[in-house]
Amino acid sequence: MKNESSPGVSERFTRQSFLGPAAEEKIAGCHVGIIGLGGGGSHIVQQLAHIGFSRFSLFDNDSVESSNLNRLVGGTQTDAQKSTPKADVAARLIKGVNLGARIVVIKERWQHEAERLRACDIVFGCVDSYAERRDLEIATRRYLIPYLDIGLDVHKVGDEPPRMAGQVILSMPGELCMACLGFLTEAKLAREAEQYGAAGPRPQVVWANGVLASSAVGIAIDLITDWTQSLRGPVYLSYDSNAGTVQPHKRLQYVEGRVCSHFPIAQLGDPIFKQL
Amino acid sequence: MMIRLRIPKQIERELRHLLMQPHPFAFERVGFIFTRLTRCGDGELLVLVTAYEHVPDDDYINDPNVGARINSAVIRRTMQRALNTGEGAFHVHIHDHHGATGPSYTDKQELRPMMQSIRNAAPQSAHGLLILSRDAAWAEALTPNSLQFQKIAKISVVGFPTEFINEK
Repeated sequence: MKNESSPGVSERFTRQSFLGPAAEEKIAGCHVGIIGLGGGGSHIVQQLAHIGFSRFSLFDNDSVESSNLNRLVGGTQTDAQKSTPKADVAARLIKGVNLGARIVVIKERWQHEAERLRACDIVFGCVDSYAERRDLEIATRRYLIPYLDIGLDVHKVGDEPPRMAGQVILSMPGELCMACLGFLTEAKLAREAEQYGAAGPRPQVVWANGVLASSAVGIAIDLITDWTQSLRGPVYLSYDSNAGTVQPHKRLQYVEGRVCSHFPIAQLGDPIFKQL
Repeated sequence: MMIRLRIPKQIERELRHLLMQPHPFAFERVGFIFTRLTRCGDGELLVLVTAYEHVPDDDYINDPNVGARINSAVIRRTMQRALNTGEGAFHVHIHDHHGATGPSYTDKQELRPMMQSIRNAAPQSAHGLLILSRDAAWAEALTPNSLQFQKIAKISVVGFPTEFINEK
């Protein structure tokens, strides 16, 4: 249904018409990929559907369990009983908001369907490990896809109350990567590899996931509509749940003016052999 | 088969800037973007722009009948690069207006045969034409084993902000 007071804007998007006259079209034309449809990814899917995104590729090889219900947006007790794939829950959530959405559901690890990932215009990564973040960043950089990473962790030091913290990073091709920003380090990857299989389930809660997911969705909207006209460089947000703050990470002040040397534009595309 | 083309914002800015500079006698400037081809989605093709090469002033031929005419040295250099690297090549120029754009009669008659020749140097890649307006773009490609140029369905400029510029 069209809106007579704001020509070109559908009735359902009237309240977000400040995003710009072409925003509705840009959002609808943007193909989003979401990797990991648990606590963080389910929030992101729900928000993107409400905003008006209509092309989705959903990647998750996991099914709903009772332990997911504390945070899985759209997940029900019946899903846990039936072990419904999380990708199906996400697709159902989107269809509930937008029946016309075109959804590709991939109930595999994203690495098994990597060509489908390349069709996405923006990819959201909601994965648990540093190694998977590194692999996703490599895959998206190679094919010129902006990558938005979210993550949450809870730390306990001594007798202090637990500290819950997280991050939102936009890894933009041609700009600083997650290694340049100091988020992905050899030490973190090595420590994670040593603990492989012994880390146990990571703490996850719905409200903190919601903050991180909302921040990432906000960045994606700004990226394609340019409504703030101020998003022009690296994004690395630091979330402190105990303090209730989301702010630019302090490391950003030390990387100003630096250029990423890890992902040269000349090396886009499939890896190739070069004669020496 | 759907074809997508993605350009890094840095390269799009550079080529727009260079193509808008006045030439001593030509009415417009031209250049070539170099690309890599890959598969994506459900049997779709993705063309990734990795570099831009501007045609130097001295390689234009003075011909008042067309916007720009380039000499054979440029074409040989472009073919050589495609042969050496396996990259695709797209002829690029700007139509200086806002909104949707597309190829002129001369573009179709003269540029298509030139790109068909360049394709012989790297037949495994996609080659074609990219035409920009001030805020939109149009492109077509000859893909491997294809006899005809096919319109590129989605052109994205990836950067701050990320734009889909063929959908004006």
